[in-house]
Amino acid sequence: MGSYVELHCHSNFSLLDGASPPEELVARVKELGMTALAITDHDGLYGAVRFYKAAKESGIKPLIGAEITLDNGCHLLLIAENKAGYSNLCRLLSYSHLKGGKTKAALDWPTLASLSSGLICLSGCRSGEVCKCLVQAKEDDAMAVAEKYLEVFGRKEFFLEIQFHYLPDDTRLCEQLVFIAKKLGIGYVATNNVHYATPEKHKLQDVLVCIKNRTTLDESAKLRRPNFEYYLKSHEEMCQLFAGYGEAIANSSLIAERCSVGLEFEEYRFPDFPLPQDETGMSYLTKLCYLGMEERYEPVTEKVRKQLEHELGVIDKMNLAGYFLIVWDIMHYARKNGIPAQGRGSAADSIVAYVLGITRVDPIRHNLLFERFLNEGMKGTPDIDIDVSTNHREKLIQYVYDKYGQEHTAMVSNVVTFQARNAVRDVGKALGIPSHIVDRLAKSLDSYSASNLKDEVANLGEFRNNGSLPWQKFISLCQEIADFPRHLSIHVGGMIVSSCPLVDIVPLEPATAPGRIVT
Amino acid sequence: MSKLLEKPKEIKVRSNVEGIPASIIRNGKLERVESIYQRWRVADEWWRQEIARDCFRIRTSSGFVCDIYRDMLTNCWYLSRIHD
Repeated sequence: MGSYVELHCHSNFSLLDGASPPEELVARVKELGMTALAITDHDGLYGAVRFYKAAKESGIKPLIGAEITLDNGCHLLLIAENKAGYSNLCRLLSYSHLKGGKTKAALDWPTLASLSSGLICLSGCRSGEVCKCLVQAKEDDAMAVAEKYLEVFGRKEFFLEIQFHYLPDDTRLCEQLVFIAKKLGIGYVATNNVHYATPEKHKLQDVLVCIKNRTTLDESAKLRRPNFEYYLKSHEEMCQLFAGYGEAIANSSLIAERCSVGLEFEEYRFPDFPLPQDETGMSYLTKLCYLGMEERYEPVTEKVRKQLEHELGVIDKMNLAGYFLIVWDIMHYARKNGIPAQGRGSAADSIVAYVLGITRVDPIRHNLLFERFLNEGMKGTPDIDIDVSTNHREKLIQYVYDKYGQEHTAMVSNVVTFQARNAVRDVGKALGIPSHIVDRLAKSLDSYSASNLKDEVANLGEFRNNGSLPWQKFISLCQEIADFPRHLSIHVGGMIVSSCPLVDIVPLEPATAPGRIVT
Repeated sequence: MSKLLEKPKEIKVRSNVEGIPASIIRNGKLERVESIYQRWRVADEWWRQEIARDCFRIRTSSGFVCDIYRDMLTNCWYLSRIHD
């Protein structure tokens, strides 16, 4: 029998629900001697890249999935088996958000059915459709729902999920789910619906639930989980819990072996810049540069010509002509339309950027070093930051949308995190600490980060001597929540454009601004 | 029908290595645990007076059906509910 692999695990990118960052979960999995882990956050892949990097660095096999919310409110776990499955997962998450709106996801059945290939489907927790029927003692309905999923995903891709969290009806539910699986000839798999790495983190998870629901610990008994069993359990612990269900443990490992999805985005490329007939990206860029050179330099010295030739050679070797043309095009549009915009930062070291009108500093005159901006040893793409007048930003954003199309363009979202003041306010409210005290403490803090709150509070006059246990817990929880994602917002100017439809590589969702899509 | 005790009553329980009750002392007599109907765990109120309980609904050799729990913080056993 293979070692147990956790296939249902929420990181703190299950916003205000998961109580451990991806890195902490990966570290715990390694500590437990496990070999793989799936992160399955609610309705998103927000933490997938961080998780993927941490897992790769630790020698843990990363599985990419999500717990999606259907339009009937039920949950369903999807794990990408391959690249096609990953794309389908991104599409499903995107459609789910586009249908449900900014704050909630809601995937309809026909969409799910049409994009199910390459995905392994697990029936989900107690909020899953099958289990929900069983909780309500509707056994026939549970069987019918399981058959419906089986029809869409197929016998090898659909598994009933069994969980044991020491809840009164767990034993019955496990028996009934295994009965359905056997009757339909499908697999069943054990998962632990993990929400934190270690048991003691359940306190923070309780607090997060309160923050999410804008309530206090005292008033949230029905919203919070009843105990601390939702932690990452070892192979031995899971074998003991599912002693009669060896197949459920073995299947977790078999599923993990089947999945292979890379998130290196090596094949990512910029969109093809629409070129005039008989031109290549490089020939067109060269033409524009020489035209710009004649405009910028009078006379054109040998030094200028040589530097331009050198830079164009590097750009050619690194296949970046398209990238420069895109930036040139944006700046060209800005200039034509009277939009104040200017490139800044290390792009000013480049004569190509200068003659294209992206930057306004002459690198020859100021003896600037091009290699600081771009050299052949560099991995990735050089940074060209452009400052745009706030009043005209929207017009330029709209131009990029129109030029490359809605499918290929999105604004970048920001992850707003917990820092000292909002941590104190939110955690304090959850603990039921009087608002005037929380407010006074928040206003007294100088530090931006919450990670050293204990030390800072120890130096604050009126709070210094409060050694009571509830107060100590409060401060300690504020520290624990430091840097946790709180909610998403839209980046003021960050845009992403791609050659392939963005929904194939990242989930998209609507922003508050009408018609605006973020990733 | 069942009766929730106003205050849980400490009782003596012998359990196996997995923490599952094997027998209890009731009215001074040892009764074997013949069935465990349910097992559940509760952890709550950590911000006030923490509780952490491993709970069992059992039937003993005398036919006595009740809810007992092990306080996971003190390892003491308590009788909390009696079923008819």
